[in-house]
Amino acid sequence: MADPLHQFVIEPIVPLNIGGVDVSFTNSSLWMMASIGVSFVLFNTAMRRKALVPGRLQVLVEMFYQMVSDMVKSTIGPEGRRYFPLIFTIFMLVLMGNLLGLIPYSFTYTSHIIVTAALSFMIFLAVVVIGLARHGVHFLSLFAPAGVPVILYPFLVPIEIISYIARPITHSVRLFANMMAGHIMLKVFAGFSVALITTGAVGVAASAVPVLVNAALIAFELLIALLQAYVFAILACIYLKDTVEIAH
Amino acid sequence: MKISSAAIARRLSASAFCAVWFITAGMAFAAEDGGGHHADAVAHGGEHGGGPGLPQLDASTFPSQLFWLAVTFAILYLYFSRKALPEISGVIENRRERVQSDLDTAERLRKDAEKAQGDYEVLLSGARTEATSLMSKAVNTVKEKAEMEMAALREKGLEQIAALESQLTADKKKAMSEMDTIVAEAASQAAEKIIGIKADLGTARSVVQSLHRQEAA
Repeated sequence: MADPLHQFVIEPIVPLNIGGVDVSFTNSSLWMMASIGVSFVLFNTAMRRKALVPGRLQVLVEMFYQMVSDMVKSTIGPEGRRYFPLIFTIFMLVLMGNLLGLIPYSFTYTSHIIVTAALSFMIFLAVVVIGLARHGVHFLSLFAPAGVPVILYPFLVPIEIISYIARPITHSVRLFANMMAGHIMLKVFAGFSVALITTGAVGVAASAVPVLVNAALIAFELLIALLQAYVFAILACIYLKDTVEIAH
Repeated sequence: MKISSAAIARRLSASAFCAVWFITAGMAFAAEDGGGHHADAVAHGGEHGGGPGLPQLDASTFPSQLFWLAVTFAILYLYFSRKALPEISGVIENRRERVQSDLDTAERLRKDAEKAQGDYEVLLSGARTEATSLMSKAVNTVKEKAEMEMAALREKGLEQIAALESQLTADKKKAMSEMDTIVAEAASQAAEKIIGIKADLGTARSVVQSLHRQEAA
């Protein structure tokens, strides 16, 4: 059976070296560019007419806008307005990566931990830097919840710090693991049908079963693609909320 | 809920499209797998030396991925923040304003209509009271006039009656006084015819008058 992990291999398309660092244009980069292209085409086509009564594409695009806008407003509050383009970019980048990855022969750049980790650490660093700049030392009160006896601080503060540092890790691993697991599953079932075909006439007929399972899995993966993009964006909102107000 | 047959057909065709697409994709994954089989083996044999590691943990690809992610993120961020999102928010805001202004216009028109209705009702009730008062005034005038005329008529009638009565009394008196003469004449003539006495008319009248007096007494 073929290696289900082969789909995640990064293959250089145009070798590129800047200052001794290998930044080759790879299949991953290609699909990142594709997500830019699809976003451009989608948003430009949808907003071409700027209609008062929107058409289908415009409704779709406005739905994305409203969804992210509501998400930012409800989790961060009115002050979250300035983070809206950031959250929207993250949402569209992850969504496009997840969805384009479902095209056969494509590459899913969100199935790579380095990509999801880069996004989540960007949020994490932004929260820490903006939080310290805006609230100063008071930002550290995140680690000392109000209403807790001081005697518990030696236990509580380390736990709070650990859970705070775990945020970007869980944030990135959640998306990466979901994408990787889904794609491995698709590959494994595809591999079943290929293996069955080689076993003769009965095998050829039976190979339809894994294909049907895969069809169902693809539908499921579409849901996961949307859901994980949403989850990634809303977690980014929740973390960014710490820069706006500190509850305790 | 009523669903038209066209809607059912549309849903069925959409479902069929999805099913076909998913199954095709499923087969394509299988084909991708089958096709890549040999290359896979070669790649594994050659490049990775049979190492079973996850491609995601191959740190040599990290700089490239991070670089292109940064490029992609920057392009998308600039595109969304400068162009796409302001456009969409403009359209949404525009629509909101339009709907609000339409609602305001509707509200204003409704108020105008209500005011017109109120004015109309005030006018109508004013006209009604005026009509009633005019009517009653007219009726009163007519009634007064009629009563006055009636009174005048009655007075005149009474006068006439009085005149007639006095006339009648005078006539009666006159007739009575003449009656005496007639009776005296008749008596004298009767006496002349019956007994052959030619009675004096003056004597006869005095007799009648004396009889009258007797009667009256």
